[in-house]
Amino acid sequence: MLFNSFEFLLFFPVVLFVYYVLPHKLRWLFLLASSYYFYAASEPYLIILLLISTLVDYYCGLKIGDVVSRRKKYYLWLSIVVNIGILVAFKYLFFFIDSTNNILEYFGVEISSSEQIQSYRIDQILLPVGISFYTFQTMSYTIEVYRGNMKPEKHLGRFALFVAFFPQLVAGPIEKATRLLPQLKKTISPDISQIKRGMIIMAWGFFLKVVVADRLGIYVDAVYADPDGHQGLPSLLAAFFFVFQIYFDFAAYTYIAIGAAKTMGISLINNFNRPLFSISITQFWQRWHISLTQWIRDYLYSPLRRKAHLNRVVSVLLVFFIMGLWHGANWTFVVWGLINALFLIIEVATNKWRKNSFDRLHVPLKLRALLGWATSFTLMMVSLIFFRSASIQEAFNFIGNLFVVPNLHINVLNNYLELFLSILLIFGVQWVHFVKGNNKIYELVEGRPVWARWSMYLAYIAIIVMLGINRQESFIYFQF
Amino acid sequence: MRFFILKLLLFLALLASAYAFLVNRLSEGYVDMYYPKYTQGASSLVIGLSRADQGIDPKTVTENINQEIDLPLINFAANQYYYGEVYLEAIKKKLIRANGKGVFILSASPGSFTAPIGFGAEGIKKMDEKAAIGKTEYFNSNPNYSYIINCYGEGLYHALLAQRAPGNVITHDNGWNEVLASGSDFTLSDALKMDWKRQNLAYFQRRLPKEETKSYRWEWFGKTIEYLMDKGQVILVRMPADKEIIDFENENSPNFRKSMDSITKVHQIPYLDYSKNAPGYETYDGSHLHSESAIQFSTQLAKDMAVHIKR
Repeated sequence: MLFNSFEFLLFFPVVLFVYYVLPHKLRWLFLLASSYYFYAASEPYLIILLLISTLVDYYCGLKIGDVVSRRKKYYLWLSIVVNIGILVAFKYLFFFIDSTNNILEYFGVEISSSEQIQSYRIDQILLPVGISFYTFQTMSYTIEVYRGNMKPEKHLGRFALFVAFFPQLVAGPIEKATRLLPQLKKTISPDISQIKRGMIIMAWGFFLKVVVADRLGIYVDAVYADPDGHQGLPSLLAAFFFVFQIYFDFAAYTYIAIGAAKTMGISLINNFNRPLFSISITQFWQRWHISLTQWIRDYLYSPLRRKAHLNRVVSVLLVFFIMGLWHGANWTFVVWGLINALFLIIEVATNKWRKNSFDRLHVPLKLRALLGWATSFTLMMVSLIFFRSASIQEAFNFIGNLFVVPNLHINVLNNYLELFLSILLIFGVQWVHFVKGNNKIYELVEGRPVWARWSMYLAYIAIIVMLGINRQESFIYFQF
Repeated sequence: MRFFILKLLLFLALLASAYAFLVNRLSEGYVDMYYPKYTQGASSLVIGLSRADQGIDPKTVTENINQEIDLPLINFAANQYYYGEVYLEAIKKKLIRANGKGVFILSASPGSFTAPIGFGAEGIKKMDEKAAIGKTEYFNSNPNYSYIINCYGEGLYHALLAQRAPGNVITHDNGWNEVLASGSDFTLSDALKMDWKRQNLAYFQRRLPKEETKSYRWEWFGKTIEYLMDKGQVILVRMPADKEIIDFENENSPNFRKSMDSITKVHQIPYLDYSKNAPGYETYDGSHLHSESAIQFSTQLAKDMAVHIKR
């Protein structure tokens, strides 16, 4: 079920109402049933994978808590192998087959897959929704139990709810069991101020999705559908728009997830902290998709450094390779990850030299920050061309096309009004994010007099109804 | 708490009312160039891609066929409407009761049977579901709120603006999109038409390594024919286009003619191929007939069809 669908607009108020009407001891059951319904609404049979992942990690968690320390590792590996196995089977199998075939063909070995195999191909669009998110979330649980940071959850229902909690099931934030599980157990009384805050956050998310991200997507899709048909300024604008489209789209999902959870008295981790205002690549990765970067840092990067004793450069390259692959079964994502790793490595390696150079030239701090921001933004924009392109070749062509001048025909959609509106919305939203940050959006409304609040509500209705794009587009991160 | 719920309900009621008002307001005027295809039931259909959408005028066909056919004949062809399960399901919903005298003009070109490389049957179906034929629930209602809610790709603020039909396209109630080569304030020059044709060919060339002919589409083309044969006369048509475009298609889809001949024989239905000799039919971009040519072509098509219609 999409957040930006009419089904969800009916589903959510009913869930919220019943949730508070029910006694505490039944709430987990109701939320679990609602979460499974939410997930199964699009592809019912794929819920089996979610159940397998849940049962295996529940069992492994209990066993790790039970057995003597020597055998704990077996159950940890069982959890990792099953979850990664699900990911490989349903997300990466054909990617690996195709890549192997390509390599063999390069060396002159002819490989041809039959029409029948082709027809069974699991296309990217048929991926089990949210598979990368919930497998990482359940794995974090077994790792935390293994490390002794928490006791295993004995209540299967509550554990299942931790894995399937509908607001963050499909596209995160990836919660740690140490944070989310205790919240699912505590008794929550209705708190109107929290419900209001949650709804304001959700409303901002809906606005970002249907008014801004989907609008930018129309231009971006038009250019990327035929990247060689566009050169110069239209390509540059599409690359620029995509930076904001993917940020607003993903942030929108996160806002709705955080807001929905908040209305139920549950606090989710903030996934963003004004990432596009970062003044360095390092800072960007501390502010973008925070729940994933924390997961990678805690469960991959740190073990690589501390236990495998890999040096920093190799660890960073490996981690970003995996992070790229996590996003999708395509080399474009891998290249995107590796480019970011290189940016980071170079940035860290030249830190001292840059600081000394700036000092020698007496460059003011504000100008340094501005240069840092412009450089980071540009590099991020270039790397995201790989993220958005269908193939590496297409991405290189796209970058080459950026330098074809003069081509000033930016009005690709033959609609200057929409183009102007898109740019205006980007700056408007970024202004709000600059002033309020990502986690205090509710302050836009909270504490204002009644007339001001209702004026804002009415303005919101007018904007979302008049400017919203009607197509009920899926969120970009659903495919991961 | 009760007061809060009341305020929330008021907010939601205002939101729903504003939305309903704008959707309704939009439906009263021009929605988009495909909307009329979704606002009435049909007993006879034009099916295919954009060449059929712009090149076959149901009114001209009806006037010149000189046979009794089930009416209305609606142009239900459009860009992105490829043969497949989704299109057939849409056709089934589109058709209203007929007396067995329906006429179904199925336009086919090599492009009608392609999909991106690597896509299997399920992937193609999912892709087709993203077109209007897959997103809409209803095909015969006027106003069609389902179409506006699910397929209208722009902000509803257009409902408050003056009518916004593209200047050189007349969208007819029967689904035909008539593209004008000239109007009171514009004329498409030969140089511009040549440039569009060049761009089209370049686009086809770029698509070549990314698309392939799919047996899935041929299979559903066959199923579509079988389904429609029960409802009336099915006629396969290859639309005329400029020589460079047809040559390009033939070069890159050498099996297309053979496949069409074979499916024609299997189902014993007429196949009118206008790609071979198409003098006098002018396109504005190499692929699509403009207004006068579309009428001229529809007239000829009607006459040729009349010969084949079995009664």
